[in-house]
Amino acid sequence: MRRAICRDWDEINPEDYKGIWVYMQVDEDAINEASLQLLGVAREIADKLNSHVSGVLIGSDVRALANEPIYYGADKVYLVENKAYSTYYPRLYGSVIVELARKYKPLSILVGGTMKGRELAPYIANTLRTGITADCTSFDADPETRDIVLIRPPFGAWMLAHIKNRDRRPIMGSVRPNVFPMPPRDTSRKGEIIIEDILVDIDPGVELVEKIPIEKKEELPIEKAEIIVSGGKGLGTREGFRSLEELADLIGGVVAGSRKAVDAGWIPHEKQVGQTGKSVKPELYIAVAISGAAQHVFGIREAKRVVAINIDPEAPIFDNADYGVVGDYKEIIPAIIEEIKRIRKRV
Amino acid sequence: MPLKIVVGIKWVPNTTSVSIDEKTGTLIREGVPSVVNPHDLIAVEAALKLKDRYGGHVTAISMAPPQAILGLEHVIGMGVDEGILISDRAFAGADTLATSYTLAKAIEKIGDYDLVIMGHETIDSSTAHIGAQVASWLDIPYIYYAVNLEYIEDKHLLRVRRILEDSIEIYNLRLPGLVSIAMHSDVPRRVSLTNKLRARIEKPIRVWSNKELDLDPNCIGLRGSPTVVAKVEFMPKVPRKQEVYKDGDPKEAAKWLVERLVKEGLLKIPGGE
Amino acid sequence: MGTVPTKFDIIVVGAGPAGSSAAYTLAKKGFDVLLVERGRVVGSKNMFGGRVYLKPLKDIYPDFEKSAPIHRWVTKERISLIHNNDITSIEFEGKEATSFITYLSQLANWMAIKAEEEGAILLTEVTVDRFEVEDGRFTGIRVGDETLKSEVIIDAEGANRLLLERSGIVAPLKPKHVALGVKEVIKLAKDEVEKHFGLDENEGLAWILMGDITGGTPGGAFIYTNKDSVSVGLVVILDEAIENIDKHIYNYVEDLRLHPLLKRYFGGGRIMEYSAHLIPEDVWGMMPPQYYYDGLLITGDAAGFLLNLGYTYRGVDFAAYSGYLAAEAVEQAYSSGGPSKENLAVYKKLIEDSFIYRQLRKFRGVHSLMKNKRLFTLYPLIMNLTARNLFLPEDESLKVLEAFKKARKGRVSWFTLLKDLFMVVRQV
Ligand SMILES: Cc1cc2nc3c(=O)[nH]c(=O)nc-3n(C[C@H](O)[C@H](O)[C@H](O)COP(=O)(O)OP(=O)(O)OC[C@H]3O[C@@H](n4cnc5c(N)ncnc54)[C@H](O)[C@@H]3O)c2cc1C
Ligand SMILES: Cc1cc2nc3c(=O)[nH]c(=O)nc-3n(C[C@H](O)[C@H](O)[C@H](O)COP(=O)(O)OP(=O)(O)OC[C@H]3O[C@@H](n4cnc5c(N)ncnc54)[C@H](O)[C@@H]3O)c2cc1C
Ligand SMILES: Nc1ncnc2c1ncn2[C@@H]1O[C@H](COP(=O)(O)O)[C@@H](O)[C@H]1O
Repeated sequence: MRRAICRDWDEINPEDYKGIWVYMQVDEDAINEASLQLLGVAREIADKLNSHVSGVLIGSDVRALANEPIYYGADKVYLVENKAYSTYYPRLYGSVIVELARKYKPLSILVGGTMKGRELAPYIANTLRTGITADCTSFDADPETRDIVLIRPPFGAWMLAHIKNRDRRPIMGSVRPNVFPMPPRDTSRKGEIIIEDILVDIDPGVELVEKIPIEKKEELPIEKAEIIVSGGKGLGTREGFRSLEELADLIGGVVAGSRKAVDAGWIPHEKQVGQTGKSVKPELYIAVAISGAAQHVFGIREAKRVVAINIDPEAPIFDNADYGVVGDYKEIIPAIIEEIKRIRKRV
Repeated sequence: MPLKIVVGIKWVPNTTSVSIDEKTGTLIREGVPSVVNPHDLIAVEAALKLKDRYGGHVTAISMAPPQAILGLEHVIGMGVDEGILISDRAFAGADTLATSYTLAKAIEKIGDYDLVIMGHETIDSSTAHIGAQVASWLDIPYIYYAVNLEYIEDKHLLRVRRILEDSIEIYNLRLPGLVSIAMHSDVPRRVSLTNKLRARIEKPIRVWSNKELDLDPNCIGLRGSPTVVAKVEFMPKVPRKQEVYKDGDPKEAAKWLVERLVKEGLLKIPGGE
Repeated sequence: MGTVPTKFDIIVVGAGPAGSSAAYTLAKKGFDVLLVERGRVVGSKNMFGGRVYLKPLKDIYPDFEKSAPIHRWVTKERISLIHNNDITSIEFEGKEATSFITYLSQLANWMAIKAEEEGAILLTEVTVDRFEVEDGRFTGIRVGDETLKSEVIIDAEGANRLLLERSGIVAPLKPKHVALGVKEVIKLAKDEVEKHFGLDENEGLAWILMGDITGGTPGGAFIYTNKDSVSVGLVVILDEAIENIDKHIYNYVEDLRLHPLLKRYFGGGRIMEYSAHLIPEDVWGMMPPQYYYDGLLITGDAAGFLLNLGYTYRGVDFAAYSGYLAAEAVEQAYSSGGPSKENLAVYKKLIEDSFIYRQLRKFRGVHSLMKNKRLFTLYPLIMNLTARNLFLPEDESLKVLEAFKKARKGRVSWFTLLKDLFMVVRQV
């Protein structure tokens, strides 16, 4: 028996919904990595459900990219190409996906949790009057009920919430970049490209006036670094990061930080480690003057070794570290730098 | 033309003081004070800046239990003109679809607005859904991550500057529209004594229950929420060695540490393995 | 809709027991009162052991017993001397009570609500930076770059009294004037509290412990049974603590909680709260030169109105009552023509005629006992050795006096002992 639904929702039949869709975000002339990474996990879910994976590609000149999703694991690609879509506007792109979804009824739509993805996904879900789960970290699929459970860390982070979409479809979720590994690119894979001429009748209501690319410093993104020296609020000042940079340079690492360090403006947000920053997986993670809140430690679960330097012997970071040193970073970090230089000289 | 602005603020447990019961895996919320979601204070600041420059009226809305009146008083203390607390047991248990529905209906009831401003996300759920969802219900254009807002009065447009991972973008947003404010866009102003007094004396806060909003019970609260938490699993902590050097002498400590890291091959010391 | 006033009859600074009682009484009398509190929530910055004496509060709040947050009535008093793993106690138990146990946060909150109900305006999260002074008269408060004017300010800022310091009325507090109190609240089920401490419903225990649990530092420990939790803490004289204590004071509370003879009382309970706060100790040494100035009345801990009986504190009732008297004084000043300095002087008389002043004078010497370290280490040791000699005979049983002599021998001379005993009896 189906329960009574909100009068502002349309009636749907959940059984009609099939297939896993992944939205392909296009930046300049390439597909965003977060989207491609999602194809891997979408494939796993689809295989469990004996279903298929589709990429959804929108733009004005994106045909050349249409095979990419297939190389990374998709069975089909929905290609919507039109001059009207030369610029991404959330309401415009969102409406296109809503139209497509109304027509093809996917069981699930996954969106990479990039900044644009997080802006776009809830609009799609809402316009389809369905539920959406943000920042999923894993999925569970039940072939019996053809149901997908979305798993995310809720508030508090030492827990995982298993979230179900009771009776609405598609089941929507967003996933932060680098939560899942990039699937291999296999150019021998074949798939179907479905060209859709959807022209939505919607005024995006916004107009891009200017776009200024940010010079990407040729810095290794923290999620790819093998060694990370990370600083927290206890550094006290922006200058505190200098000594961390010196250490990082010396041992071939990059600098990252806690949310409080980011909030203080000492380092940029893309270097934030943790639940609302990035999950990192270095060989060595050195947490300096970071207390070790659950939300921070969440981001270093996959670090091989964790070193903590903190003045407070009771700081929770020590419970989450392999090697800890109790002391003032202003003394410890220079001592470590000295020690490494000394050994290097010796050998 | 002065701007009529609505800002969404959420009343959230102060996460820095939340801990978890290791036995049951549940949150210990007891005695945890609530605060206005810090990102929403930044949104309020953005609204007040617009008001300072172009004149206007700022209404804060919050869907929350009755205590959240303190949160509304706080933002009125910052300079917000009035507050609306949307509070009713019937709204409890709402997911983001039902929450955004309720908020959107309340904004429709306010009726005359040019701009809706939301925070970047909430610290207790951090979904960043509500902004886009409210825009969807209201059928208005929206843009996330604004760091700077300028009102182009003659065209009734909002010029929005935002910073993405790899670009700075400038948009014109048609009004009425919605923006969410980047979490580091500005420092929220302090509460002023006079405004706080105003909050207490003029009591510019209205409370709307579902009597006032008159929403279909199937659209709100738990019933209006397609998503449910099916179960909660306690996440094991990653086991770590937890060897701690406490002796105090930095030189010795550094030796102790570097020795271990070198032994494990974690520091590239040429020939030093 | 009203308009926002820029001047109040009275501004009360600090919503502790003193401030809220003053605001309540004044509002009830029809004055325009503004009560400001720096904490986000009233009660969040207030901390104390756990016991309050009823009478003064009943005099201020007619409905006190009916609606105030009273956890348990103190029907059992226990004083213990503790040394190592030995405890010697005396206990009094009856069915009547003149004091009760509560959370100060709840009581302070209740008092603030009462003030609001009477029409006082309460603003939280307002930290007064300093008082405004014009031609020697206190005329208002300054918060950031804003000021609010008043006819009279009632200072109820508590023991830290930074405002008085900034006004040049008092010198900065010295460690020797104050004690540091730390406390943990341990959650237990209501029936567990009753079972563990041998209490009936609504009955409570006030337990004071002295001995080596303060690490030899003058001070004492306390245990109070709340409704469904237990407060455990200790108080140490700050200057002594700074000199003697080698570990974080928190560890002493932990030692107390984990003490082999005490831990069973808290068995399985979770720590809900940890807090630390200053208490005026050498009350006479830190009192401001006067309680009233032109446009300013000083109440509660800020004025040093706290009675230290050595084994217990009376602070809340003293503070509340001094707030009440300040309100009375304001009313009398208005009816004598206005709140001029001369008319406000009636506050001095009201205080000096009250039990507050009488009691403070009577127990004036208790503080000096605090200097005597023997009371905190040696005598608990001797008492417990005596008890050992008496109750744990190795062979032949001893007479009480023999047991005592054996415990005393070589530790303290009879002369010193008698002198100390005399001092204690005299002061307490
Ligand atoms: C939903 C949610 C998501 C969150 N996401 C994240 C996230 O992604 N990433 C994140 O980091 N946080 C996140 N947080 C915030 C998190 O809860 C903590 O507030 C934050 O991690 C604390 O940062 P910190 O350790 O730098 O600062 P603090 O907790 O203030 O710790 C500073 C530390 O420095 C030490 N210290 C001080 N001086 C010195 C010295 N001289 N030498 C050595 N040590 C010193 C102190 O002992 C202390 O332990 C999130 C919170 C919530 C609620
Ligand atoms: C460990 C300990 C145990 C105690 N045990 C007992 C006991 O068992 N029984 C008992 O009766 N008493 C006890 N006391 C004493 C009792 O707590 C105090 O005497 C009483 O709280 C004093 O009340 P008050 O209103 O003067 O000050 P407080 O309760 O200290 O209140 C002062 C208020 O003023 C606010 N304030 C301060 N400065 C400003 C400012 N600049 N602007 C705005 N607001 C400000 C503070 O936030 C605070 O809320 C104990 C005290 C301690 C520390
Ligand atoms: N209950 C609520 N009441 C008012 N505004 C809200 C509420 N929940 C979320 N918001 C607004 O929506 C933003 C994003 O929230 P979220 O989607 O929960 O991360 C917040 O920063 C608020 O501005």
